[in-house]
Amino acid sequence: MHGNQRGDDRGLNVASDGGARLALTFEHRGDRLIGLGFVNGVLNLLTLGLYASWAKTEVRRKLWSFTRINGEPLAYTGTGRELFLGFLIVFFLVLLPIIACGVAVGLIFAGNPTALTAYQAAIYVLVFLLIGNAKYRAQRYRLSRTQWRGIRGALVGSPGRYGWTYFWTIALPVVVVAGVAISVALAVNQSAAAITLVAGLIAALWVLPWRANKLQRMMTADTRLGNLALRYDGSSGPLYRRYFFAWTGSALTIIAGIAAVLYVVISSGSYQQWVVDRTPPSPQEIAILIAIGLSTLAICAIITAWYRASQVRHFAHHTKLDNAAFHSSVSGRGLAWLFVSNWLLTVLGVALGLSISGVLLWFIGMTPGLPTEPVTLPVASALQGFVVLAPIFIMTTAMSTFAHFRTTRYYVANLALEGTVNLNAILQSQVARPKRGEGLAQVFELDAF
Amino acid sequence: MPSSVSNKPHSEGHYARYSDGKTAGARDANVALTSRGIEITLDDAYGNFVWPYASLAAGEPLRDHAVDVLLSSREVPGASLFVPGQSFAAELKHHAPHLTARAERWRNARPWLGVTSLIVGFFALIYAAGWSPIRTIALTLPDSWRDRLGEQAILSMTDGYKKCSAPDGVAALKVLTERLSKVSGTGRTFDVVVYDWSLMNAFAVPGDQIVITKGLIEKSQSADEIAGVLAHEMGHGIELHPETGIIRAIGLATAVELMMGGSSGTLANFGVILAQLGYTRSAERKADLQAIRVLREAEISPKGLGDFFKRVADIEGEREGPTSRMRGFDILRTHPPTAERSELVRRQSAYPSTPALDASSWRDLKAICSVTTETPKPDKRETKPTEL
Ligand SMILES: [Zn+2]
Repeated sequence: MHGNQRGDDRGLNVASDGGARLALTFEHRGDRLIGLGFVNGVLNLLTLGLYASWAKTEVRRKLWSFTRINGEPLAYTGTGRELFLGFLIVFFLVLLPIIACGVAVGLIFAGNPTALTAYQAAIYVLVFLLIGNAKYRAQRYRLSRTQWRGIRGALVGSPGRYGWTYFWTIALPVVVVAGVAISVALAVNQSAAAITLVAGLIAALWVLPWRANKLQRMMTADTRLGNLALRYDGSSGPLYRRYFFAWTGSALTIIAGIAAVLYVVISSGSYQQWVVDRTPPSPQEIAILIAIGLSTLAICAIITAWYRASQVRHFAHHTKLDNAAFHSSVSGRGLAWLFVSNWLLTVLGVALGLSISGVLLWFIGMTPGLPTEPVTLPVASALQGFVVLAPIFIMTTAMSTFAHFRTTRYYVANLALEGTVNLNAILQSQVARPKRGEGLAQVFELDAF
Repeated sequence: MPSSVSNKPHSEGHYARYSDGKTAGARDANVALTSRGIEITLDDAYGNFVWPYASLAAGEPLRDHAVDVLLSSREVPGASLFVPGQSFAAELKHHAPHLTARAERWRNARPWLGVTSLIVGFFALIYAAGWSPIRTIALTLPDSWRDRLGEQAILSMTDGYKKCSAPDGVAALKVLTERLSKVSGTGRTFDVVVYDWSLMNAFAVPGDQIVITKGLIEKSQSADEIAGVLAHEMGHGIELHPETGIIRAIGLATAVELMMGGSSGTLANFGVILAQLGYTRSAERKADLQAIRVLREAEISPKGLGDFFKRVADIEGEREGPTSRMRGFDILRTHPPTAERSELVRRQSAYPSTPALDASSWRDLKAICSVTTETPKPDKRETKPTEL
């Protein structure tokens, strides 16, 4: 493959007149980033997480470099320092004020659940308002730090506009459903209102394909490779046929999940104990509820994989670059397997970490397992905690880096560009590059790549 | 070096693709590693030029088995050079060792490793010096803040329960409280309230305030036992355990909040924080030691303390075993183990003691919940939850 790279490239050289075909490939040559993930886990641990921005940057440089167009790699030119500064700025300008407000509100309105609930609701709305904005900024940063043959990408639109669209396309349906539910509560009774609310929210899920298509259009139309704009000509109509199955499946799953929670809470008598006797739920009860929640989410993720795959293919198919269109061969089975296998990798990471902890504890002469009797010496218990948690942290970092690699590989390897692009006509981007990266998205842990 | 070479690889050089960063086009180049840097020879008017090694940046850090390299240089911003082939990559590593993954990681991580060592060293020093920053903060809290924190803790924990306020019972409780407070060493009289709550419970909150429940009074068989429980809770108060607990909980909630991007709302839910307060085994031991001291100075027998905790442990055992639902409340935590506690009580040398309360006052205290009053709340939320 790599031997004839030169030959492939030669064809391009003549491209002064018209277009060249571009081959997208993912070439990792055996490096699956497990080792890098391991090293990053160790360094993050030893620096109390301060190294995380640099760790993330090195992973991206690898993944970008594995992604090739006609054999030549993409280059990621972002730096750990940029990510770190972006994080610091958002930390001090957004996060700390929110937390300070939380403390103040907690102190002033303690014992006033209504005020506290209102405050919490306001924070959720604020965060949700910021999420779209943050995603856009993160994408803008990444594109501005992505180069091929020295030509940068860019995102030229407004994060505020995208963030607002991201917000209202969900908020409006929710407000409408809530309004209807409140009317039902006033006109009929609370149970009917609760049913209306759940049914209404499930029905409101029908906006998702339309919303996804709308957001994709905004993002794509704002994207530039050098001075060349991407074009998007997709509409949400074709998405709905597959969405019907995904929606039915997830609606049934969510209803089953809610029913399971109600059954557990009421049948075990826990409800009585929590609300009337005011005793906190036991770890077993919390574990059962978390397990129900997680399996509901997991089943939804698997059920919707086929729809999500068709959405990716739809988006790719309608994204045009010069005289070429993208083509994705991502499949529902592939995405479902990616989800399940990456999840298994996380479990494997925890299991490996735990077994290493066990060996270490045995080695330094402590009993493995969680301490039943609290160890008297704080130093000893801190050491024990470190010995248990450090291997888990390192192994899960290694596994999640590997999972990240697998996801990127799957999407890139299934992406193609059909048609031709006149490369000599693509000029360098003149758009100013953002100075710092991603702060918001990093704080909210939004960025997958 | 010839000023113009063909695009065939030079015998000593390597084939490469050069992009000037102005268009997405690329041209063939011949590159050679020289002592001055990478010499790049283009097959047209650009001629040849050198990128010094120190000016180079690599697309991905150079690794041992790299099969190609993507380079850029500060000399020509925007331009990039792609060199396929293992031999070039291997040779480049010797000329520009700063491009290897190892060198880059070390460069990036070193300052933070330093910072972390300083932080860890600082905390080790604090620990070695026996200084507890949380306790220092607790000590500097003004009394008005402590009172306010305590009131809020009581509000969020007793929400929905009525205060027991039979006048004779309140008076009897006051007598006992004052007898103990006088010798507590805090210089303040503890504020003890009883709630009409059938759960057996007692807890100390900031500002020298203590809450006990009707269930606890019903389960105790003498005023000495109540005195023991009060002395234990006062012990927590004297040691500032409620204050340090809240400060620690706020610190933890802040950490959670930081990790959740400020969206978890844990901090706003003060009640949740306060309800989670629990003490460590060593804190319980300190409270017991204080309790023993207070009882001795108040000339009340410590036997009641031992008896009561023993009974609690028995009830606990009958109920559901060690992992009871009653966790989270001070009295019902069984550590330190009852045996240890009894041993502590038994070890005390005898001293002259009188009953904590006379028989009629004890009857009055038993009946304190025959009259109850609604506790004032800032928010008249109905405690009945919405039907499910
Ligand atoms: Zn205690």
